[in-house]
Amino acid sequence: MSSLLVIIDKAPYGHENALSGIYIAIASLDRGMDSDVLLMGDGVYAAQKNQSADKTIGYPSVSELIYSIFPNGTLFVHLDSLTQRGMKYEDLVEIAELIDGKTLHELSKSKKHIIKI
Amino acid sequence: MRITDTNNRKSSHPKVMVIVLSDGPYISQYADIGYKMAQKALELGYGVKIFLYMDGVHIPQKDQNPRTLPNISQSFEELIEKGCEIKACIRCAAARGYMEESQYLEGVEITSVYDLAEWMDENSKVVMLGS
Amino acid sequence: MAIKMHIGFILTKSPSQQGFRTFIDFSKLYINNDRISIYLLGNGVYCARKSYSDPDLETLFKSSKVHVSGSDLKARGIEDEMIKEDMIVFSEYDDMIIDVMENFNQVISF
Repeated sequence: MSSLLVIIDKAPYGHENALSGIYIAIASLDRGMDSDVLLMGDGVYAAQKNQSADKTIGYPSVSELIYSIFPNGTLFVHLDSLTQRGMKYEDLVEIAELIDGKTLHELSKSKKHIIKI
Repeated sequence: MRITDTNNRKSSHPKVMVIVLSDGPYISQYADIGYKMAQKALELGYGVKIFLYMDGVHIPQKDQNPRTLPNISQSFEELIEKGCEIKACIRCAAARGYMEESQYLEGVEITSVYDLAEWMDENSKVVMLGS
Repeated sequence: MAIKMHIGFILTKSPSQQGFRTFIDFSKLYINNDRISIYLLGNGVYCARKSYSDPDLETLFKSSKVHVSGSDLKARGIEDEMIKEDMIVFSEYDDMIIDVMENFNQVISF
């Protein structure tokens, strides 16, 4: 079975990338791949809870869409990136899992494909 | 340099390079870098598949006429002639007004992101290029 | 102990472009653990300039085999004597494609 890690490092809505990265993860999970999403850098903002982009700017809410990867895929949030932005685990959607460097290294080595979008 | 002997080799090669392009032409160097990578991989006998995502769907539009930059649609036409498979994401294409494949170079298919997922198998290597 | 991998990075961003910091943070994970090769393309070649120094980048480069696109250097007016030591300047993409397809266990582009 093939596997994939999608790294999102751009904040949602300002760019299409977060949304598009999640779509790749959803499609690959549907095709039976062992896929996960990793939010790094400004990408961590995609896991902020209580987003309401649909009702405000008319964009699909990334924080709702991301639930589509659950439970087969995991939403990892890079701990250092979160801390650097003054955010806490409590600020994030429920399915978010924090990941430190060492664990991320192990995760990334386990993947056949890694794409940064 | 013209390469003439790769036509039947790359599609049957078990190893495939998948290139995902997410920028449009000319706004950045990525379409050109992707073309050069694809051209060389084909020359070396590998299979090459290009997936156009987000603004990347602008790349194979017909009748481009850049006055000062290399014509990317001509470059992609050359890749198609050499057997490179090129698919554009339907969500991204429709959003940008590409409803018909006739708006594109012949051979470019409008399809879903599920095809990209299927390309990412054990025999492929994926290179994502974009801003 | 984890198996040592050969990881390939393709970097197309200059140090202040979006994505560069992710590259640094992500590639750091592999230093001292795995074999690293880096291909600098497009604006990524600005990272090869001697005059640009970033401690994280220097640490990474010291632990890696770094290849730089000669045409991208020349296009930007960067002469061979202006780039850091131990960089491999290449003119054709052959080695990069073969590394990606045959030698790298993983390839990640930034």
